[in-house]
Amino acid sequence: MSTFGFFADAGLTTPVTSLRKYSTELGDKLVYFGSPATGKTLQDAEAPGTDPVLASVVDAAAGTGLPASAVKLAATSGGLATATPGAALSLGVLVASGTANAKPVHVRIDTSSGTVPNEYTDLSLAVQNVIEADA
Amino acid sequence: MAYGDGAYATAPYGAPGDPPEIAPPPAGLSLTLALRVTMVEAQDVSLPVRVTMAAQGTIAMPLRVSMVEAQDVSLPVRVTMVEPLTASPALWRPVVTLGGVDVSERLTGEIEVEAVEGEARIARFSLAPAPGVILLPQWSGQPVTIDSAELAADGSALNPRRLFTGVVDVPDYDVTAHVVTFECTDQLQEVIGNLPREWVDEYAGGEYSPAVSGVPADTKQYAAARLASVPASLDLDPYQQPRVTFWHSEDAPARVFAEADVVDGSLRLQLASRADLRNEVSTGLDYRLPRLRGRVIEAQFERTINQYTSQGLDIPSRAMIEQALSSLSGWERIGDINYVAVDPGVYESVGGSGVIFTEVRATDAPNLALGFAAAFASRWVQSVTEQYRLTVRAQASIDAIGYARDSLDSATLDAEFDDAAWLDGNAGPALTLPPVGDVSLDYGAAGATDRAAAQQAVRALVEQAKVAVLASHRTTRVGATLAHWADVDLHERYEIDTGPLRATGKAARVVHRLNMENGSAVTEIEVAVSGCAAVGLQADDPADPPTAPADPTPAPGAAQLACACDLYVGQTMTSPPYDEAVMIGFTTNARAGATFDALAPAYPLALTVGAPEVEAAVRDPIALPQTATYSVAIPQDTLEINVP
Repeated sequence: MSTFGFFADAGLTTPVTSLRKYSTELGDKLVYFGSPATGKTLQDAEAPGTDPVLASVVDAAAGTGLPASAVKLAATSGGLATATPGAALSLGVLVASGTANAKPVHVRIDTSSGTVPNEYTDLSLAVQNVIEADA
Repeated sequence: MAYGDGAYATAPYGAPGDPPEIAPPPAGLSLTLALRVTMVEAQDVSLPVRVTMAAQGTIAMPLRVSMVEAQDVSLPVRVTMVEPLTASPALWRPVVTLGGVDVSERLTGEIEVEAVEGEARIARFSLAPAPGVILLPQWSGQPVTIDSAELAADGSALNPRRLFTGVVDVPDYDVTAHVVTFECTDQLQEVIGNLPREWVDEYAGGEYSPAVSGVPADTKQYAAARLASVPASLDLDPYQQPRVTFWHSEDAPARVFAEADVVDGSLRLQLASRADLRNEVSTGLDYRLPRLRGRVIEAQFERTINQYTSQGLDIPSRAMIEQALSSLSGWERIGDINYVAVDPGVYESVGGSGVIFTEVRATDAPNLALGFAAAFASRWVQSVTEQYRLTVRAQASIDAIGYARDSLDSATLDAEFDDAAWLDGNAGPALTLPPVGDVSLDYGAAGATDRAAAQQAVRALVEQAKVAVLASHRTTRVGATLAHWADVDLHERYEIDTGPLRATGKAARVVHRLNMENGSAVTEIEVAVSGCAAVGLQADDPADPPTAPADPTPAPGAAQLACACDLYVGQTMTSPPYDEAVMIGFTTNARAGATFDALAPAYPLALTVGAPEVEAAVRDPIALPQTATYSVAIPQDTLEINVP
């Protein structure tokens, strides 16, 4: 069980289990990726130290629901404007644990391609194929 | 045939030319090849081989391979599409969750959600708990959501629209009615406290200066500091997401509520009180900084050999000059002393008592000087206080209601500096000294107390004063109770047009009331109307800081840049009594010459050099006032009253 995950706060005290977006809701979402544990690191499993840890948008039902391109990810709120829809966000080659190393993930969800009333659950944010180790 | 004869004789070894014709030796001839054999004593060449027999061993490096399963961390995204409201639903039902559990079926009494701009959103609802033991404290802090939905024919909730997201603050049990009432908050302070400051920078913007707002301990204080200079409100939306809404927008109202939308008798108007209006707000910044000053002066003295010898005067010794130049209090000699050399010889001068001979021996001449020149430098720190007096004025409002003045707290930015360390030469910055004259440098720590920081403080103060003016001019409120509109919220502008009264403005307060007992559902709204008598075209100046006050101190004159050093000759007919305080320079006595008088006052043989005083204008603390006035334009919202 990884100690890394998504949190609602930079202090990594409130885990987020689901990112909810209403089409009537204004603004972007902000979650933090990290681990409140001490002395842990997270790296890419296939090329640790070389390939970056990526936060990506996963579409579990391509062709139906909302497309992955409905989601933009950026490390800063200002970066959302120029972020590529559906593109993964690099969190760095090594993500260390601790609140000082929490990675903000700004999320902009475009609901214009959805139809009302409806609820879409096919999308998720994922940090895949990583290994956690002691620092 | 001997070797070298016949067919082979024309082919000397190595000679150029055509190759020799090869022909078989003539028949009957014998070919002899001489052999030289040199007998050499046989030798042995040996290479010792050392073979070390070692015990057989194995070098091994163990490899430990731990199979770690690659992991995935996933965060599901749930997107709910909600149909925009086009009319207040005739049938409605609330959806309330407490601790993630839908408790809608046990609701009783009234659900109230109150949102006021810039404040935490508050919700109250009551439940009739199931019979059994209840643990009230366990409900504190439990997450709460309140949605307002349309009631479908089958009794289900359609198109739920969020009114509130937060946590239980206080659960209260009515022991008589057996009802638990929950008072809930959207945790505005906690949410803002957890925001990264970059979020505040981007969405709130504004001008921030630690000199004006202090050093914030957390994001809440930081956000408050920035918002003080922005005509906007920071609060949370119904989903508990932070948002900054500017008070004024040129956008059309999100919705127009006509007379038919307004509950009878609920329309109300509260005009801004003149006592609350501010149309001229003053503030200020005292920027205290050290002005590092340096000055280079000259000490010069020179006479011709004839001026010395004509009266039999002593010629200053170089030791005397060096000693005199080493005792200038507060000044440090820079560079070497430039001596005016004396040529050895016998100098003849004709005076009233005859011919005078003065001999300068070759051994003495190097120790004497007809004069000298040297430069001295001094450094000091002058405390300068730039006093910025800033005024923000809304002229249109002044024209309408006269002056309504107020003042904001002034700020101080103090560029602290270790004078002693700098004067001792143990700390920078260095001054580049001129050959002669003054140089100055204003010191401020980069990014903290330098001029850029002072200018940023001025911007923050001016913007804060503008916000004070703007805020006071939007205290007029028009309120009404409407049928329930779940999407009415603080971030929109609305128009209320009932005929007799027409007003437009940003929502400043919204209250949703859903009554489970009588089925009524209303939304109370108050819009803030900006303007209030300030009309017409108005200027709005940027908060550019004024130019820094110029250094008012005059450039030093010749007297401030030159040391006093003159020639005073005793025992002449015109020699006054010796006065040490006045006679700064080379004092000596005549021994001959037309004006020689042995009975006249004699002077000691001495050399003194007087350094000029640094004038008070450049040394004493100085205050430099600077004023600037800024115009602010007050947005004009619609407020029309027609008496029927």
